[in-house]
Amino acid sequence: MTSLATRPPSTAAPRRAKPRRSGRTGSNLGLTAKYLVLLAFTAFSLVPLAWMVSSAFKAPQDVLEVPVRWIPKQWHPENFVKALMEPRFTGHTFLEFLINSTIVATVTALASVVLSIMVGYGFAKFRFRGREAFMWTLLGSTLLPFSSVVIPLYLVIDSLALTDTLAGLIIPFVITGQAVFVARQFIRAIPTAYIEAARIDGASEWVIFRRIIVPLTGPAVTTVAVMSFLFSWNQFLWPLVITSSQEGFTAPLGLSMLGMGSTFNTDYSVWMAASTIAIIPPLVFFLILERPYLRGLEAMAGIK
Amino acid sequence: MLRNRELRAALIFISPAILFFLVFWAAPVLLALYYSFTDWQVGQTETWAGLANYTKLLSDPQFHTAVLASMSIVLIVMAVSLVLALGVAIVLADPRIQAGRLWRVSVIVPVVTDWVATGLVFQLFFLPNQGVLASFGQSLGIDALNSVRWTTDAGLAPWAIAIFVIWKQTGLYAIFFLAGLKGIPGDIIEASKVDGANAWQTFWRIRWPMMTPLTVFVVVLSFVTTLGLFEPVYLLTGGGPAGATRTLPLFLFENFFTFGNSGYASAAGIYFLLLSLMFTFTASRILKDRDES
Repeated sequence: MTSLATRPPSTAAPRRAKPRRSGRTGSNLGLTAKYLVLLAFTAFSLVPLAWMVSSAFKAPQDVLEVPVRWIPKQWHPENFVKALMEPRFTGHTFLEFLINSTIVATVTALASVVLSIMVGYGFAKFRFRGREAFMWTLLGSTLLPFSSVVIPLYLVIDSLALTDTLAGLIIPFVITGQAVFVARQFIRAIPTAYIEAARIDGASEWVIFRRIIVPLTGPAVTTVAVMSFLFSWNQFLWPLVITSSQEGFTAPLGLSMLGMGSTFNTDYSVWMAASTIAIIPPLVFFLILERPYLRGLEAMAGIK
Repeated sequence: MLRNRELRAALIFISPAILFFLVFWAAPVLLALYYSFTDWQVGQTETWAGLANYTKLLSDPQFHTAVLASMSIVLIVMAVSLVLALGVAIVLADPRIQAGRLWRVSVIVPVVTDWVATGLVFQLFFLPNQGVLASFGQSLGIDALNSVRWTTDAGLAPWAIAIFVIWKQTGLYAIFFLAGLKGIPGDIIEASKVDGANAWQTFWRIRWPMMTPLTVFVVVLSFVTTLGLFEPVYLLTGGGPAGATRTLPLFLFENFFTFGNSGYASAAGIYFLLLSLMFTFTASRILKDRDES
């Protein structure tokens, strides 16, 4: 259990390439059943998303057509331009909200990488009184449902005059217990002997951090970055609570307003085009960095 | 001397976390605790109210409904998504399954997509008469699906929310279970097979007991996560019909930001926080024990 997430994934290689000969029919039946389970579950996972993408290309009146048509009768790629460019929400466009989201999520991810590596190193390689207690309190506090601390956090952000700013969307999340914990799990795998050798050679603590630790934290960096980016991009309750002027809207906030109040819009194909656009950045990020992301989840669950 | 230098360095490295913990966790909670003992309304100065908010909450039928609504959604989601997740993980852990990465990615995709974007999709799925589910029903000849009022019927609305949450989260729990199953050394499984255990026995006698700590972690995590969910309720029912799905997070949000009953909402928030703390510290305790073993 002390071996760490940086272990190459090859350890999970198939244990046996071929099924045993005895009881082959039974086991083939089992395998077929397993494929059916997977097929059913992935259909459940993907059907809503496939429907979203296909509707994004349809004419508005065709979105709720019976029976469901998966390939649009006529293609309307201009829905995407409409979704992005058409001014709504007191003159602002969805494109502006996407830019806000990009800034917020990118800055959160970058800051979170730097700070988590620093703090994670402190927790992983130094002994001091109260270390364990603080580490686990930090982790426990950020496993809390966000909605249970949203009012207290609002009170503080309000008194710091950070409501309705992009900074207010970023600052509270540049350090999270999860990111620190994941960074710590990775950094613990770096042999302590390197650090001790450098100390004996007279290197300062900062030099040790910059020259020895940071270059060896590659996997931790990508993992923390992808987790923070996804977390930040998909946040909804917090921007809803602190953002009042539409200049500062993030993409999810803009999306949620599509079906509401003065901006009410029942052009469902535009809804779906906007939704499709909003899920592309996190999806692309995830598909490229799937392995680091999964490693982060595994580190979270304390596996390896 | 070296110890001293190290200690100072350690303090510097973890100082951002200390600062953050104080400013964005300890201070806010203390502030909310203070307000929970006052009658603060937005735009007015507060006066000390002692335990009034706390006792009033205990006899507030809306608060009771909120707790019940939260619990029923949590129970449905946990029962369905944990069983599904374990099933999918067992299947994915079979080394004979081809294209494992493709399946894994498809399973986890809903987890990384945004609540609001997918919430709009589910809004349209659940529309009565013309919604996507109704239309699937017609194609399959189940006309009864047509008139189902998924989000406006008090009995069905929690189910509609739960379906959306199950769709969104099951993949995450499946990935946790999968990692747990793969973490079991292959030679133990091999040995049990040599001893003549069938797949069923191997699972219940070896894999399952070895996964118990992880399972407890996933159970606790799914409990607190689902309890705290705001987005699916806000997007699908807005707490309706007539407050039937006004869950705890929504109750807090409405009282604080919509009605301005800030002191009252703070007290409800403290109840919610205490409830969540009990569970998250169980979870982090489990992680700690695993970490030390």
